[in-house]
Formats: sequence, C-alpha cells, structure tokens
Amino acid sequence: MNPYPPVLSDLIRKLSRLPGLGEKSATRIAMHLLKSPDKDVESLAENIRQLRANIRTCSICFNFTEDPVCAICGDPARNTGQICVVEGTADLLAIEQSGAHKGRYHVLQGVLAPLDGIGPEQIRIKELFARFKSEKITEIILATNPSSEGEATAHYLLQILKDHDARVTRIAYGIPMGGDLKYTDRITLERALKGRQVF
Amino acid sequence: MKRFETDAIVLTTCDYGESDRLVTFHSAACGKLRGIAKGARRSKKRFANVFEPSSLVRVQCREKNSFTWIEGCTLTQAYLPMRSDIEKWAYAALFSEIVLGMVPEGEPLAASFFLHKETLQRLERDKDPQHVLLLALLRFQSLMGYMAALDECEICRRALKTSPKWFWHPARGKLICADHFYPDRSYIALDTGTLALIQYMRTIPLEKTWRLRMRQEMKAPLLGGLLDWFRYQTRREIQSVKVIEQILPSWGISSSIVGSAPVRHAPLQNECRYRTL
Ligand SMILES: [Zn+2]
Ligand SMILES: [Zn+2]
Repeated sequence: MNPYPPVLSDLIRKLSRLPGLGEKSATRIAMHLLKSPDKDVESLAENIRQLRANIRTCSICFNFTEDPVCAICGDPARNTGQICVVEGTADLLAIEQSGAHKGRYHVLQGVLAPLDGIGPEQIRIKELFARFKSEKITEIILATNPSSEGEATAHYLLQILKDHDARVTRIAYGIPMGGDLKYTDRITLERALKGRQVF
Repeated sequence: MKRFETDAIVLTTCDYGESDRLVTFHSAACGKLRGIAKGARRSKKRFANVFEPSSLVRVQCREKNSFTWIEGCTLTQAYLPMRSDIEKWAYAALFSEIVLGMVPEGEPLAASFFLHKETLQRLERDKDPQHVLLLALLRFQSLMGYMAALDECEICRRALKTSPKWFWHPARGKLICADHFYPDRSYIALDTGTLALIQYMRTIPLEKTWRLRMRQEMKAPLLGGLLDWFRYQTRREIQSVKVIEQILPSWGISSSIVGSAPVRHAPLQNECRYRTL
C-alpha cells in the first residue's frame, strides 16, 4: 500500500521522471518541499512556470535565451567567422566556462541516433547550413562528443560540408589534463597517440 | 546468485535510476541480455568506452533478485572505422534494431551472435556494405526459422527448376510460380538463379556466405522484402530505416514494397523506459 497522500505520491512520481533522479531522491526532494517555507516553494513553482513561458531557443544558434537572439549571437565581438557545433546547451556552457572559444556556436539539439529514429531532419542541421547565407563563416569546429553517435554525426557533417568554403575542424581526442596513462582506456590511448603533435 | 561471463555486442544503452545504466546486449551465451551497470553514469572510468552501440565486448554478470548486474566489461573490438562511414554505421544500427526485435531474451542462440559479429567485421571492411547487410539479413531470417523452403510453388508444387520466374513474399514465407501469381505489390519477382543462391546460402558455413554475389537489380527488392518481414513479425516501424532514408537519399528501399502488416509507430527503445527498481 502506498503510504503517501495522492498529491504527494503524484509529485514523487513526477520528480522521479527527471533525469538523474530515482524514487529515493524524488521522495527526499518532495519531503524537503513539504517542509520548506511557503514563499520558497511558491517562488520555485513560479520559476518553473516562467521557464516554460519565457525561455526559447536563439533563432540563430539554438542556445537557450529569453530574447529572440542569445547574448553570444548578439555580441558583435563574437562574430569571428568561427562556429563551434555542439550537441546540446550543456556542452555550450562547458566550452563557454573554459573561455577557450571566442566565436559563436551552433547547438544541434541532439545527435544522429538511428534506433531512436533521429536523423538529420530531427536535429538542427538544416539551420546550420542556412547560416552560410547570413554569416561570413570561415571555420566550423565540430565539437560533438567522441561517442559513437557524436563521431558519426561529426563525420556526416564533414561529408555534407565539403562543398562549402569554410574550414572544417574536429576537437582533439586525448588524455584528460591531470589524468593518468595507467588508468586510461585503450581507445583513448590509441586516439591520443594517433593525434600526437610535434612538441 | 549466479555469475557468468560472455562475449556480447552492445545494442542499446539508456539511463537507469539515479546513476546506473541499463545496457542491452546481443550475447553469445544467452541471446538478448539486459543488465544494469551500477554507477556507470557517476564514474566514467569503470566502464569507459565499453557501452558504445555495436561494440564487441566481454561482459561479466551476476544474477541477483531477478536482475542481471554488470560487474565488469572489457572492450574487444570497437569497429571505429565504421563511425567515419555513415552508411556502414547506419547499417550496423539497422541490424541491431532487427536483433533487438527478433532475438529472444535469455535463450542461447550462439549462431545469431556470431552472424552479428561477422556482419560488423564485414561491414567494416567490405566495399559494398548494402550487399553485406542483405546477406546478413537473409542469413538471419533463415537462422531464426522464418524462411520457407523455397523449393516449390506453394499452390501447384512445381519444382524450382521448372519455372524461370518466381514470386516470393518474405514476410509470409510464401513462394509461388509465375502461373499462379496474381498482381500483388508485396511479392518480389525473383529469377530461379537468385532463389537457388538463397537456398545454397543456407547450406554453407557463415564465412563462405560473404562470397555470394546477388544480381544488382535483385538487391533492393530483396532488402525491402526482408525489412517487411521484420515489420510483419514485430508489428513495428523500423526507426533506423527512416534515418537511412535521410542520410542516403538514393536508398529508396523501404518504399519499394508496401508492407501489408499493420504498423505500430513505437520505437524499439521504449523497453528502456521501464523501471522496476
Ligand atoms: Zn545564439
Ligand atoms: Zn504454381
């Protein structure tokens, strides 16, 4: 028998559907909300409502934004001709935090995934091509993840970008900084050696 | 509690619970195998690069409380070159989707695992990946016991050699001669030579299969017929075909034959959504 009142068990069920949350964490969060001050819980609910009402994707790069164009695309200094193609907004944020990329982005909002029926038309590939008409693009940096799907997506993009003038580059593969060769898997080591550079 | 170890090919993975991953394999020891890799999302080190789709791995499992837990997994072959050839990569995914739908869970069927493994090896190095896919699917259909004898007309019982032209319905497993054929788009027109080749394929060892050459004009209809067989058996649309049609606009195979089976538009991956922990 479910020991919780229906409203509470409904909330636990909904929370446990969120990424990374199981039933235990969902219950913990629900209990926390139950004990929190009214104004905190209401402000959280209001936040969630606003998120749905106000957050949209940038009409240029598909990053999340409150405005029609995101802060990066709206910044003339970022118009360097370099576009870094990433799978999702979380990847964009990671690169932004590193401060290593001074140009703009293009968020694909996914990768090719045949078993899920996700092909080029289901992600923002057409929109990447449209940008060649409105922007002076000199380099496309393919920064999809080095997973099977990320790699295949990068190779697919490379193949269809070959008729465009822009230089197409791929982020390097290798040992993470502070890492240890002894504990590095075979494929990463193989790629790191293949991608070695003159020192 | 039972421990076992087997060679396997990774079919799909999905997040499971708070920090685990649910991985579905095509295994040599027990057909389709689903196991939970504990903490695989929290720590990337323990299972680094081993759960990528279509990778050949050696997996150690433990059965406890009606769940299979993955205790260890080592990579045998990643078939990396396939990731840089979108056609080959997509065909590998298509074969995985068919395995997911047809291979039973928990039943040893080593031959289907070896066929899958050889198919990946051949796809990786063969110059005609579509031909590899076709031979693999023909062999798979036969292996799963769904291929008719293909030696006589189902209606008049005349032998294969007595007619030059035949009509085959791979989904229903029917073969009829030209005299008894009535116009039906779900049948494939085949010559006696191609049928004899398919028959011969069933009698030879797997490694010799790849040397068989189908007539060029037979390839697309045969592939289309085999895909219809899958749709008919599983009552599902094939997700990867939709993707292949987008990335290889000249493919046009799934539409060459209109499937007669009612089709349910649900991706196979749905099974990942169950969570019972
Ligand atoms: Zn933008
Ligand atoms: Zn007949």
